[in-house]
Amino acid sequence: MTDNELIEKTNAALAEEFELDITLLTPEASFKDDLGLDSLDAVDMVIVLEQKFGIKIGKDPKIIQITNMADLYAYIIAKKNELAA
Amino acid sequence: MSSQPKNRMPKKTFMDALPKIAAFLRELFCNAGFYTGFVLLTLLTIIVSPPVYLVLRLIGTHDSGQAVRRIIWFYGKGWVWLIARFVPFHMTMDDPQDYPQSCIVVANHLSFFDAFCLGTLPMYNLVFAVRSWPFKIPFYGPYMHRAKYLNTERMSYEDFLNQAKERLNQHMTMIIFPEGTRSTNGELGRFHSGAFKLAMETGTPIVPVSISGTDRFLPKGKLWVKPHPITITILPPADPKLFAHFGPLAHRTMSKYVRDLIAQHSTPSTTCNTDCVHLSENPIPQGE
Repeated sequence: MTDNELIEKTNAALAEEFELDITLLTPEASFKDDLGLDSLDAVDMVIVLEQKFGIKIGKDPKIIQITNMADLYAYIIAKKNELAA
Repeated sequence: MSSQPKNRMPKKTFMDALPKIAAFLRELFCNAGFYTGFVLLTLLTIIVSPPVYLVLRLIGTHDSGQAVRRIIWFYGKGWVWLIARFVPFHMTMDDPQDYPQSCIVVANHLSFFDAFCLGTLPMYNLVFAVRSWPFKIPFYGPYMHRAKYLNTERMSYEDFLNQAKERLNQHMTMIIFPEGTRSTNGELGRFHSGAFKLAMETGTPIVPVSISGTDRFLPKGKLWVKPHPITITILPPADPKLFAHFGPLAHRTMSKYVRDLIAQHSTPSTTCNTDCVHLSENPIPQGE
């Protein structure tokens, strides 16, 4: 899966689960200010991503620091590369 | 020389303007009557609160919070009676016996007066989860504090969950507007999932309530009310146990189910019955 496909799959999963307009899911979009996601949504997002990509995130301290889509894409791509290595 | 015919606008007569004048007078009557009644109802509630509170405490059936919540419930009933004098007010629900006292009421949010519309609920031991600003309203704040309402902006989610659980254990009805704020365009917004997580964790049923028309009656940021019909639909309770098999995201599935139910029973804000005239809107030009 290419990085672009990974990004598209992430956007589709989040748009469906959080009932978000997919056009809002841009790299610059902030979870709180632009997408209106709260702390409870952040916990659910981890579950959605784990289920969608078969990766283990759990309570990874790196995920707590992510506040926008660009950082989330980079995190998922890194996780997938770790799995492939 | 032949003179060219001029395009002249037809002269408006008094008779043409009559429907608009009648609609304006109707709105004026509605505002004067409603706000006078609203102020009198509020003053009356403030005056009778202390003796009613004492009676409820002395007969021993109510603790302090319960007594205040009962007074607020009477106030809500009074508001529903008042508003029905000025606009068509419709409420539908199943048999009141079908609704448990300990439940989570989830409603869409269109206007400041939505909370008052919930005076139609068959439950009376109501606790609202609201943001900070309603606690600052003169007269309301002290009642809200004494009724143990939850200020969601002043607590973490974990605190909210613990305090809401405590109130549900005491057979109170939690009222939550899952959109978090009033809609500015009459459309149903995205639901936050806290109410549904609370329902799943405590096994408490959710009672969805669909509110229609209050956004046209009093839009967000306005004071001038419009005589627009209001409809409240109190839907049957949804049991969280039926969603448990959806796993760790069961609360989200329940949230989507309840949101769909509310959306199905909401009248779009753009619809307007024939006797509803909006003076602020420009008439649509009929051709060039």
